Amino acid sequence: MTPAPLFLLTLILSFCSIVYELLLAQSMSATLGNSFLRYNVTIGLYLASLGAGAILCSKRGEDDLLPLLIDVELALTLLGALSPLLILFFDTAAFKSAGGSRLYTALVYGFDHALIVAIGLLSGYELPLLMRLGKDLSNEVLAVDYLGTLLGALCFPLLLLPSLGVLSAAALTALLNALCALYLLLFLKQDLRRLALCGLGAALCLALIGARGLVESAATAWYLQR
Amino acid sequence: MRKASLREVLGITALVSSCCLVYEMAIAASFISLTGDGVLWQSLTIALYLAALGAGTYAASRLRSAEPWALLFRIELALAFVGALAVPGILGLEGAYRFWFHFLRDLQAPPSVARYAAAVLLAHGWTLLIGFLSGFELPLLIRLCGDGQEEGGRFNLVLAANYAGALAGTLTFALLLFPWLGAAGSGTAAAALNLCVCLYLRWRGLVAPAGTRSAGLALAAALIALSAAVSRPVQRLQVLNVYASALGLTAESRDETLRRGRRPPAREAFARLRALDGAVERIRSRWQTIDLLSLTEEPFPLMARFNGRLKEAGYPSRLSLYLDKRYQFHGASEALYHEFMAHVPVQLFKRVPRDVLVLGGGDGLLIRELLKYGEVRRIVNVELDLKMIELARSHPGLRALNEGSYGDPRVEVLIDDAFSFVRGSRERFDAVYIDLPYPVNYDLTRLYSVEFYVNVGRLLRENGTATLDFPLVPRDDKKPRSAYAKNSVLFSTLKAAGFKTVLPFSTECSELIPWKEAEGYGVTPEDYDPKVAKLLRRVEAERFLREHPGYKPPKGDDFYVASNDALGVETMVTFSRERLGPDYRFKDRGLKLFSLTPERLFLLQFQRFPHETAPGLANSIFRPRLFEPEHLEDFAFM
Repeated sequence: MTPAPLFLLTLILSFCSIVYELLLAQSMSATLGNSFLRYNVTIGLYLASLGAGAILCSKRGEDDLLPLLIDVELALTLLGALSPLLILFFDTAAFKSAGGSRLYTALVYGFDHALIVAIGLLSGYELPLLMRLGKDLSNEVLAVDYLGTLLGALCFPLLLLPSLGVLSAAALTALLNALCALYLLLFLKQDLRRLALCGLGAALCLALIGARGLVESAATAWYLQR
Repeated sequence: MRKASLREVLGITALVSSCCLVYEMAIAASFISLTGDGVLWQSLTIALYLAALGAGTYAASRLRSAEPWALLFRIELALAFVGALAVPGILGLEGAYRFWFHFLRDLQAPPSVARYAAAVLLAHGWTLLIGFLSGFELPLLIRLCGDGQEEGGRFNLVLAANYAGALAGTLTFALLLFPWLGAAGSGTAAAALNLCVCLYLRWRGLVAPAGTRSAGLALAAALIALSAAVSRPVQRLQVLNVYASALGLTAESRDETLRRGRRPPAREAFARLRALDGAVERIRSRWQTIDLLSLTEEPFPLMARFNGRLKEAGYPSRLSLYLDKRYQFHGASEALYHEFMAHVPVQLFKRVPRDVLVLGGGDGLLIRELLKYGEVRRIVNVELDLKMIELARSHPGLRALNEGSYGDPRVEVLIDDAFSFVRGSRERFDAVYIDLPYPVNYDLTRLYSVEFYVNVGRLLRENGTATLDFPLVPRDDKKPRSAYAKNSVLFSTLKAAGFKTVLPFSTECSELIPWKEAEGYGVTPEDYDPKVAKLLRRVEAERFLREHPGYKPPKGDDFYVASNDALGVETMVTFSRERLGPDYRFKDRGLKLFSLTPERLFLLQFQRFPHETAPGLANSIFRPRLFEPEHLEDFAFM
């Protein structure tokens, strides 16, 4: 892979990865309050699971780098697009069955933090894989990765959150991920299964963005259930 | 030098990585305390920190130092220095700038975005520096354990220790360090830990002893001790600076500048600032900082007309409450605010509630008003901050203001978050009063969302009303349409939540009073010939009567249009699920009221609050809308 597309890819992927986590932090603040604690814990868990993901990745061999990266991106697309909705659904379900009790808090904390770790683990695969794909350019890839994170952390409060809200921002970010996966698929010969999954993921994101108003009012109505 | 054991390397890795996170969070927290907005500053600090971390890692990979332990020692020592200074440095910088801004700067200079941006970057220089230094740590530690091997079990263990340390740092900060030590204390604690790492390296023979090293250690220890000692005075000065204008100090110095043609010298200004120390009482609770101010300025004499309580002896008219540096009420005007909020809905809809819910309002003042009704049998007060309630019960000034309202047996206090309470409660009330902090950041907009209001609506009995304290923008022909954006957001949200009656009103009172009485309140005569002045007043009065048809002026022929807008105006909204028509005629219920008069109630119908209603404008927890742009101007660097 030539350097320029590799750097752009790294930039976008790290951008998406931090935005997912900040969206999770914001979703948790929306449903549970105390955004200071939420953001702090999310960042800490994110960094820890990023590291764990990197370690898990190092155990994999050299042969199937590209398919592995595409699989990771597909999983992130799906998880990232749906995670705020999943938090909403789980919170409502837990509230209906357990009310405002400690059980409710424990269930919701467990689920939400599991999502943070899941996205962090998957994101942890990205950088090592990209560095291996980049071969000699690994230091530069690392630098671009940090740049992408910086851009993501700036765009989130200044652009994404105010203009799109949590649900659509998640869908848009996931769309970016899907597009990256589609680009990577160009390098794999005849992988129809992955192509179909990718297309499905992109379609889901587009649907969520396109039907924004509907999704948001449905989310509010769902949340207000007793 | 001897080779370090794997356990030592892992321990050091975990420790330095947790310090790294604590610094980042302490800096973010100090910015939040200065500006009050969480999401923006936390995201920005994370972003800059990670960028600097990356730059540091990149620089480390380019460096092939022969003595990695020596380099690590230097990095840790540098961090001990910088870390100790960072948070007090940020607070001190902000305080110094604010002091200059209030006392010494040119009164005519407009705020400058360039200056603001430069100052933010300067303050964030600490973030970048600490991030950059921290970026060196991990590559060095990896090199120190693996003899240059990139792969293998040891490499992964060091990574694992690094990230475990990061997580430990986050949790320790959020749950332990910040609640106990605050931002400055956490930074100092992390610096002390970095210093301990240096001491460990030196003691256990991983670096050679050297004169410069020992001197460096001693200096760092002294600096950390200094930082710990200085952080409290710095924070205190910062608090005084924040309230200097509320306490009337800067008005004093500006008058002086105008009068004498020169600014007071810096030393004198500083002495005056220090003298305010007794006027600010700060109580820190788990959820917020509570500041009680004894203001030095006397309220305007005319204010006594609008707030009858000022005529009472011993009334604490100078006590003022601020929560997280945001103004809540002032003894000179609170009667106006609380009487209007409590009694206007009752008067407008001619229903006295029996069961009342009060969300927030832990100062007890709203409850004082509601308790005046004999028909009220139960008031449930949901308040998040226990400390606030305790203060309302025990602080002499607050007790005098709220007349011991929390001692009344009809009042039931619940310590809970308003959002979860309304979501879970199955009770029903005749009236709900919402006295929560204004939605100035994403955390608080939750309490002004469709989801919150729908749940409030579920708590109301038939024809029940909810009343909310919200900073609406009254009609002002000089303002552009965009100024009313937050009105539109609130009205759209309430409409989307299913409320058919939405009635705004404000405590702004204008009325006609006989000129003799106005003179008695110290209103100064105009500099015209008395006959011309009387003519001008008559023109004003006739215009007032035209604009307010049905208003009955007092007896006489020489009137003055008196207004209370000098002391700040509060706006409120009362709303109901059913369609209820308001009746602006006052009904006397035998209550002692100091501010709400029949005339003032009547005049409320002429108040206007321009707004649009659109479903897309409603605020939801999934689509949070900041009612106002980020409060950049709260930050002194402007």
